[in-house]
Amino acid sequence: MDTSNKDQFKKLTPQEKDKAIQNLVKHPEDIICKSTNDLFVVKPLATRPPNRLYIEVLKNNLPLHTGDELICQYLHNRESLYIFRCEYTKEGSTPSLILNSDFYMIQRRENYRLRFPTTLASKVLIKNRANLLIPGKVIDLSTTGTRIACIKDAEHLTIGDEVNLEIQVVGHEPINISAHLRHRSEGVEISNDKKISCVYCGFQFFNMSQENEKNLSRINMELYRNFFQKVGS
Amino acid sequence: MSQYDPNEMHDFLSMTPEKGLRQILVDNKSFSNDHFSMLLKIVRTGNKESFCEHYTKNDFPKIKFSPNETKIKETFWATLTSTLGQKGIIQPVNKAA
Repeated sequence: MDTSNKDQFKKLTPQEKDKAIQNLVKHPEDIICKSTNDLFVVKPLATRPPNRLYIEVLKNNLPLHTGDELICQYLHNRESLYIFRCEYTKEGSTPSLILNSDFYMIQRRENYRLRFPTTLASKVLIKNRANLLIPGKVIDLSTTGTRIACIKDAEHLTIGDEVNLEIQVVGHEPINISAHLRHRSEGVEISNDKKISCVYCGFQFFNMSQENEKNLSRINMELYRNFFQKVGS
Repeated sequence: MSQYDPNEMHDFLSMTPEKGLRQILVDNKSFSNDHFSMLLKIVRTGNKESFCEHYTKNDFPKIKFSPNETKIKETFWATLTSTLGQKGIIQPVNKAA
């Protein structure tokens, strides 16, 4: 996530954060959590001020330990996406999250497309119907679509095309996914301090397997982690 | 029981929605549905002050309890305290301080 997206994520004040936690317990929503290795869902059960959220972990046998850092997100009322970093703990038999860090919120975004940091290497191969392989770079990504910068061969892509994407992000398994080209526009990318003309292609995924959804969420959560590290929250 | 702070207990019990509270407390072993319904009656009919008073004196407000609830009156407060402690919801005052 680069600076162009910073203003879209709002950092909650301590009062807003408290209210968000109270609302989350009153109207429970699934919280998607990412530890170093696992992606899983928890349900909020209760809170104890100032920073404790008791949860139910919906998957058994997860290798979770007190002190593990989790990156979490939940969608509230289908209109506000909250993200936060927290610590997992289990005192007694009820697991809980220690919410010592800031909460960030973005409105009207169930699947917010996170801009890729320039430090995170990515590569995409777009295979069109003619089996031509067009290379590209991920500009932003969500669990429903992606925007890719193509430096060459984009003339072989037209709006509505059904393609296959192989998305490779360092540190993650390659994702093979079907997509439709929804929009395209001319642009400029900077590579090695040089301006290079490119075509931005916006793809919408379809026929997604659960595995692909999970893999995309894993990448998204790592982008959040990157964001938290940048803002020092 | 005096090693726990009943104020803290009441805050948690009165602020937590019933569904979450039930999920945390009721295990049908030491803490049953009867314990839970009794607890809700006590928390909902009184305020923090009266809750603390009943907890400390190990007695109950003048409300109607079912026959099953009446049976567990004697051990109710001790069971509640140990359940909350076991679940990691409350901690002894000296430990927390």
